[in-house]
Amino acid sequence: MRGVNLNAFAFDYDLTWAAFFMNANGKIYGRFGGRDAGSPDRYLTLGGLKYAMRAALESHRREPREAPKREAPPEVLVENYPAAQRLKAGACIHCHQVYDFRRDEKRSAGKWTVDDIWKMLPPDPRKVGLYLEPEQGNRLLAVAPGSPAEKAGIYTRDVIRRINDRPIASYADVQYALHESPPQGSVSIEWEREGRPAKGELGLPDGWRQSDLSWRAFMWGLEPAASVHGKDLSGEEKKALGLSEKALAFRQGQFVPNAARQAGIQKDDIILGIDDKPLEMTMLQFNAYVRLNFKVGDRVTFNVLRDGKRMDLPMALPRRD
Amino acid sequence: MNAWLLAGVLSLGLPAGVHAADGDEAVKSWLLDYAEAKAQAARTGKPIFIVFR
Repeated sequence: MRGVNLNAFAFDYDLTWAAFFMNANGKIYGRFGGRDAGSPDRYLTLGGLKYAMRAALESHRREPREAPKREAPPEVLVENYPAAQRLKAGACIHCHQVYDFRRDEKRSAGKWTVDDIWKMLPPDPRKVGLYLEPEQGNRLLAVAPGSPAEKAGIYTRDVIRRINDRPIASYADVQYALHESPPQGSVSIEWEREGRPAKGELGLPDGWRQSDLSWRAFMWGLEPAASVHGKDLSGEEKKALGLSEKALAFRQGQFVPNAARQAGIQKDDIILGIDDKPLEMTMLQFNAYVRLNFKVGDRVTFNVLRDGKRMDLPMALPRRD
Repeated sequence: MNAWLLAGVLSLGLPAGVHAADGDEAVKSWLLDYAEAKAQAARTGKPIFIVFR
């Protein structure tokens, strides 16, 4: 990411692939890419890319030399973050490190809070009820009942045209428009139903920006660490133990981090959770859960199964694994 | 993601009314330099397709 102006190229930096369509004057017609907590490739379809490309070409035909509407913000280069400057000279800077550096900068200034996570990460459109089609990222595959999208009057198969006055032709466009929306309140949305235009306000309720961040590389840099990780048990294995299919249960891997080892956790222990809380999540989600809900040094009790015997092992949550 | 920036100038057909300088350059190769991509886009009148991967 060296030399990339983050203010010109704002995208979800935890992605594996992201694209922009723009003109020579820096006007961005649209974006492509994006993902949610499901498959990393779900929205990276050829059909979706073609659709987004055609929309970009149409915008370019209308005004090939259009300048950006908004004044260009100051240039921000990732290598100028203090944490980047501590790297070896010339070291490769990966996209996901942008979030790590931003967090480091705020934390060093004593200003980092858990809420900053949600301000920094692009939101999941499903949190406002928008379930988008991978083959055409601005068309609704479904609208969640009772969601802000349903309340705005949007139906399945509607085609979103603008959010927050930004043109929409892809999942990435929806995500970016929502990312630039206010933290609460509402945002304008325009759509088409069978060729007929409509517009309304999309409500943005409390917590709408929070979503499952267990898939993100960024997650691993958050503190405290859970100090345990391994493979989730299969549905059959959980059933054999009397657990529901969704219950948290994973087998501790070969490498046992220091804090877990000192607490007495061993390789192949089955981790059921902490403090007897009934958790329904995967191992990755558990790691995110600990990072979001606890502080470094908090004392918790890990509930563990070893050779069929239940054990409770207290541990102070470490800063890092 | 390894942050490789690839910039391609779209060559899906020249938009009507947009004139390429120096004849119709068939630009199909990827570039690794954003400034060069912008210059080529300005020269040809075509949009840019930028990929981070």
